[in-house]
Amino acid sequence: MNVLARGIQMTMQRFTRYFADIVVLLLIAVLLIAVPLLRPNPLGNIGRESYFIERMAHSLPYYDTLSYSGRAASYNRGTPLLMSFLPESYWHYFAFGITYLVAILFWLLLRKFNVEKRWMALLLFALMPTSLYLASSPNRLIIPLALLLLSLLLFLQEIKLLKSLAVIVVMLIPFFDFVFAGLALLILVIFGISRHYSRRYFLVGAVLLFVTSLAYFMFLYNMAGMPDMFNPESQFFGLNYSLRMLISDFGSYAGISLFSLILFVLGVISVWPKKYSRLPIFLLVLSLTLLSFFRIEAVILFSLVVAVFSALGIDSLIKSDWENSTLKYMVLVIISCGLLFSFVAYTKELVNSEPNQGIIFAMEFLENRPDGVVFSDYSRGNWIASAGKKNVIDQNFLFAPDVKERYNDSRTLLYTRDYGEASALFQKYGIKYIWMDDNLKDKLYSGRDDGLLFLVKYSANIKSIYSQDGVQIWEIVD
Amino acid sequence: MKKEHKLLFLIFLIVLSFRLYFVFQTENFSGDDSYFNVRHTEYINLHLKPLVNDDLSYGGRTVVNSHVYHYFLSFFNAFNPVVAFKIIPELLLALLIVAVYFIAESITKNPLASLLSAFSSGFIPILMSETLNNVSIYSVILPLFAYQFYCMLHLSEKLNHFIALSFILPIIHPIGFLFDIMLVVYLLLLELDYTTPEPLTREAVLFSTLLGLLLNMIIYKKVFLASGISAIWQNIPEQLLSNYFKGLNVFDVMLNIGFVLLIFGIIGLLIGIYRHKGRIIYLLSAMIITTFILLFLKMISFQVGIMFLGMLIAIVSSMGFDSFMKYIELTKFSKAKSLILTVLVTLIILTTVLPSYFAADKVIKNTITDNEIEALNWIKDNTPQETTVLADIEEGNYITYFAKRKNVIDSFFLLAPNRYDDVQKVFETQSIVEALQILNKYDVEYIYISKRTYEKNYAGTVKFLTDECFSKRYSNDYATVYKILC
Repeated sequence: MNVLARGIQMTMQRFTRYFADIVVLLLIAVLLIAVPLLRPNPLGNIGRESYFIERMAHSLPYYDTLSYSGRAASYNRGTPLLMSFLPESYWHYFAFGITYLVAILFWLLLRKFNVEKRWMALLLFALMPTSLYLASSPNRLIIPLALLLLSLLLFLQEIKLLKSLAVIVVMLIPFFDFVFAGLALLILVIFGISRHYSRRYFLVGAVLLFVTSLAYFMFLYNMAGMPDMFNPESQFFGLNYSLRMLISDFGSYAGISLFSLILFVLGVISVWPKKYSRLPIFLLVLSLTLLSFFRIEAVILFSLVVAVFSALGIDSLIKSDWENSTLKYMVLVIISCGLLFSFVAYTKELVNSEPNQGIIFAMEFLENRPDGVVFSDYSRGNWIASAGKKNVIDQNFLFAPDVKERYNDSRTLLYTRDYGEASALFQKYGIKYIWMDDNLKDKLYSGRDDGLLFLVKYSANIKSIYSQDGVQIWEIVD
Repeated sequence: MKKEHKLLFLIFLIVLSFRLYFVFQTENFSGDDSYFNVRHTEYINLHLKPLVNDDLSYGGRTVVNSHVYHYFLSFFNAFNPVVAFKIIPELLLALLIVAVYFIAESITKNPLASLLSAFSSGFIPILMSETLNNVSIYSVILPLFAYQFYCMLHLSEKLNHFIALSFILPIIHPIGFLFDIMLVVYLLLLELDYTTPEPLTREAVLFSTLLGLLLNMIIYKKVFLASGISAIWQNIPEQLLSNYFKGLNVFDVMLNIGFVLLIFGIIGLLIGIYRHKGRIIYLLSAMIITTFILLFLKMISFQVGIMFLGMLIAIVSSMGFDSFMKYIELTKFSKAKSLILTVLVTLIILTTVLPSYFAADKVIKNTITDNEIEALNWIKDNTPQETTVLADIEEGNYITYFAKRKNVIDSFFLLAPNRYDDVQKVFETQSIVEALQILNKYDVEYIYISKRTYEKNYAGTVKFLTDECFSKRYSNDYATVYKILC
């Protein structure tokens, strides 16, 4: 009877554990799918990059006739290529599917590393704005992240075939994103130096990753020539800019919540005495922390690290002796509220983010207009191209022709009140249409009719052809 | 009732009477910030909800504010506006001396030194000039801040009060978070000195800091999203922040706090650091250091920083007074102790009460006059409702309150567009074209210039007098209203 009772108890425990596992997995899925489900269908994808990826996935050209009014399609083609294998109706949930896969791979990796609070880490990762962003719309970062985690998992397996497969998987990363490939290289080198087994595979993987990155870069260079290495979005450095890139509560579109960072600090403090026994991990954490002030790709990777240490932070808060239990529970409640608040606030921001209804309608209108180059701020370029029209400049700066010149000219055109100057630029780029929306007007002119808006208001050669739901389009008539 | 408590009550009455004496010399309020608070309070009384989308300020903007203080005032305003706007703020500020007394007594156990400290705190000149007749939010913040400090000193008995204030302070005003920053610095100082903080203190600091952070994140979410960490600077224009510190010298600081108070405060701090080294000294030092750091980083305005410093110096000065009295006891002068104390009190009166009197008098003299209100009422009665009126940055709230018209700029900067440079240019430039371009940019139809604005000696105000693009529509001894014709 005792044996039977013990057997039943063990079965019950195993069942409870599996049940808990399923519940957590379901909860993760619900958290990640929040944004794609809540965003109204007519509004389509979020942001700008997703429109570019979907446009590429439709046709996979070698020459892009729309971006920069025509250029070599020297892009990282991995994500559009992968998406092109799927039916278009699944594209809306593509990012969610891959992000969920990332969550599972992350959990498997944590199990491999014997991280105790892996469920908590996974839950914290799912609550983070970073994972919400990754799951919301097609983006260039989700697949390289999945590949990196998959390769790390395979590297840590016993079977040599799987380790070899890991090397192949890691070599695919540059086809999706170069910066991510660079970060993956750093991680592989750190793992290669620190680990005793699989060391050869890590280092071989790192070398081959480097070679593949270089080869693919040379291929794109051959297509498009030397890149201008100019990116206006990287021009604004300083502590505030870096924090705004890192922390979602300060405006980062893929950042980490402030309370997660606080928990991360608490977690690091709790394991600080053991730092020398796990020096490579701390080296990795330090590298990612510093890099995340400069690149969003590093923020994505850093979020995984933050999730792990945040779990340790919570654990240390729960397990430590508190003199006042009321304060203890209140602190835990505050932290939970902080994490939930960031999640809810960010979800709301994402669901309501651009493009809004007005922009979607304007894109449809533009699609039906005769061909012509559409001028607007670079941030609108991908939408314009998605509407089947050529743009002057967009956010695909790498390998773009005359980026700096186009950027400077676009700034001149946006702020000039001199029709002669504007006319010269219209002719230079063959501009036929001008696009302006309310958010852009606020950003450029603080809501006032200044610069180019002043010109379109008073110029007889510029005719308004569309004005609806906060978007205005003008046509330049001869 | 204990003798010292009776004396404390007497000091409270003296301070309150002093403040009310000046406050009731005018029907109006000093400083245009008061009218921001009055307008929002009256809106709550009328609509029972806060004014979030303000059509008048900056020509239309979102106001990000917890409005807790406005709700508090609106309760009293429902009964009597004089009580709400004139009496309650002064009463709360007078209560500051009670908090200072009890804190000082906790530190020194010397009732006389604590009374001197409390008396001095009631007459800090900067406190007088910044809060008198001002419907100032600091009338609530400062006493609560001081009480929170007292709760920190008696954490085991006052834990519930500490928890409650940890909720209340940050939601009243973001400056409430200053206390949490001070607590974190306090823990850091203890760590640096290899002193282990008491577990309850550490837990309380963690709780208060996290709560303050959460509340600020929730209330000011839009501001943080728009500005990132620079939201801490409250979007105050850089040039204005720099102007706060221009021409600053040590004598200004001494005058603003009180010479004798400052001396005894420094003595008290030094004695505390080198002799006693108790946790209280670390806490006080942390507070003073934090205030200096925030002033240095321009995260708080000079006036606010000196106000907090003044209050802290007043508390620390109790240690100076206590040490001084104990020292006198040890010397031959112990027989003349009463005389020495009388001289000390006289010096305190001369260096704090008298400057406070002059500061208060200046505040009341600089209060908006009936003539200026008349000019603003003229705008209200003679211009269309959608009119935009340009005024100096320190008078923007007068335009919205009295004239009930849109202004171009005022002193509430959160989530407001940065127009400081443009407005300064209009007043400073001698180029009509440049001025008109800016005025047209903001659809300004009228310009309000008070005597105060003229006294700022802007180089360009003469063009309003001479150029035909500006037509004088109303004028009296204190204010002029121009219409823009071009």
